[in-house]
Amino acid sequence: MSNIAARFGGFPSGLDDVGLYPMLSHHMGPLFTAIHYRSPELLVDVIQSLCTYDVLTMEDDDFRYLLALVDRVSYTEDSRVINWRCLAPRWVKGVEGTAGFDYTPVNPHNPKYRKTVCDSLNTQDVRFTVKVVGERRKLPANMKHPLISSLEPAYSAIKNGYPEDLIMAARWVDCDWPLEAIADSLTCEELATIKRHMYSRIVVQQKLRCAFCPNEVLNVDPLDMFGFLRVFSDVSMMNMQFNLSMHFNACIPEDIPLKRLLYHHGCYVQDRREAERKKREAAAAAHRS
Amino acid sequence: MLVTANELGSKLVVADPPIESFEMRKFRGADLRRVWEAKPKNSTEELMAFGHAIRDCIDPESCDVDNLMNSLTIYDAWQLVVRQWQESGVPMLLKGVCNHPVYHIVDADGMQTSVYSASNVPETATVLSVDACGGTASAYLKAEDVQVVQVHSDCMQQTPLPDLTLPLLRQLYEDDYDSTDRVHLLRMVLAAHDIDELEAADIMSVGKWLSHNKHGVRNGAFLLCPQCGRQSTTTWQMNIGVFFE
Repeated sequence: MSNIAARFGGFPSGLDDVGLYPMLSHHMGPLFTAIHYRSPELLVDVIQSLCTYDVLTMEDDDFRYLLALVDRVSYTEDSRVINWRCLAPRWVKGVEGTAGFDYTPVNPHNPKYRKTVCDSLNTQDVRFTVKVVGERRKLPANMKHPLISSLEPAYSAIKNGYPEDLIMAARWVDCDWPLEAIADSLTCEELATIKRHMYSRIVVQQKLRCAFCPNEVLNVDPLDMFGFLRVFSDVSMMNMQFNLSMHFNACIPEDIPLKRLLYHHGCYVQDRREAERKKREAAAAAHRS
Repeated sequence: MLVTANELGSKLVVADPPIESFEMRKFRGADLRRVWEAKPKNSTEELMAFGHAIRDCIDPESCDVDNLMNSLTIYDAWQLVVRQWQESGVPMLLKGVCNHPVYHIVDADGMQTSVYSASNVPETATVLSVDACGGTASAYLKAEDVQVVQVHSDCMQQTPLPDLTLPLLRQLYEDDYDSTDRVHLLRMVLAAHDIDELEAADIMSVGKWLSHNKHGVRNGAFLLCPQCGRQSTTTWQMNIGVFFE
């Protein structure tokens, strides 16, 4: 158990004394199912088995913070590969592939250039930085910070056809009724008031840089509960264990910490790439001589 | 909220017996959910879903609900939805791109500048290029800025053909009409006639009468460009998403 609760600046609601166990490889199965099928019940169960605090009594932002801690404790610090499309303006002259084709990211004030967007698809390794921004706000009298215990009813109501915005607003109402009854009784005025006061303090930011133009984007989003943690399917996990056991004759225990498995496999992949590179260079040298 | 007949675009001229006013309660989450659950694919289907919600909101003690729903035109129904939005205090953000021209010029001293009007370009200057301003203008639509166009008071007396009616909300449920298509609107107006037996001149005069009595909420708005300070126009659409903004 490690106590690193203050790693990103402390829990937003000031929670203390939250212990966290590192994730073991057999936790990955249920976690993959929870995130792949967007099941809040299963996600909470998995996180609860890693945490000494009662997760259901936590607020949303505390749970997001907890996910960031789980990511820090149980995973290696890897960059993640994301695809994104650059939409920066670009001025183009002529037709691509013909003589005289030219483009520039700044306006040349030349009538021969026409304005388009960069529109290039970038595949990039980026680091996700988690931050706690702003301060805890005071809410109006009839509102409260939503608890994780209302997450599962909310998602089942959305599955039953309720609008997501309405249900997520209803979670912020300080009332003992069932969530669907609160949502049905909200007036448009109350809905607008609640929407003005909803906020999230935990943000994930990535710095994106276009490979084809000087455009740089700082992407800041609230932490997505179902999109933040990296998950591996059963087959991926078995492939990793198979690679290690086949190439190093290592016996991989069933309850190996996930971080160690990822680290070992990362080293193995790096070694293999290095060996392949040396082999290629040797072959090229033999070909030259 | 109290809605009088004279506020509505059609002034409820089709109603028989006439309706003076009626009481309508505000939308609740349940009403919004019913419109959402209908999953409307186009504005006609959305209007039909809103029609059910409006029917639930009308106080049956203040008027004859069946008579009222049979005499609402499609534009009246949209106006009642807009009225619900006006009462709710939900902001509506309008966005637009400024398309006014900007002249990039080089003056006699070799200085590069930009001017916003062709008349401001000095005679000694050379125009490098003319671009659109491209500034992103945004503003919140105010509830009191929404304007309503009404029918002429004698519209049902001076009809080119007998038995004409304004395009009604009721007709959308009865037949497969598209409320945005002008041909469908004409078919709705001429529901009591057989179109194949009418002469072209008659149909054209009915079309003129329909355009002359166009009514409902105006969906235009003005935006001010933050870069050049010039005014441009934009249009907005009412839909269920507005209530969740």
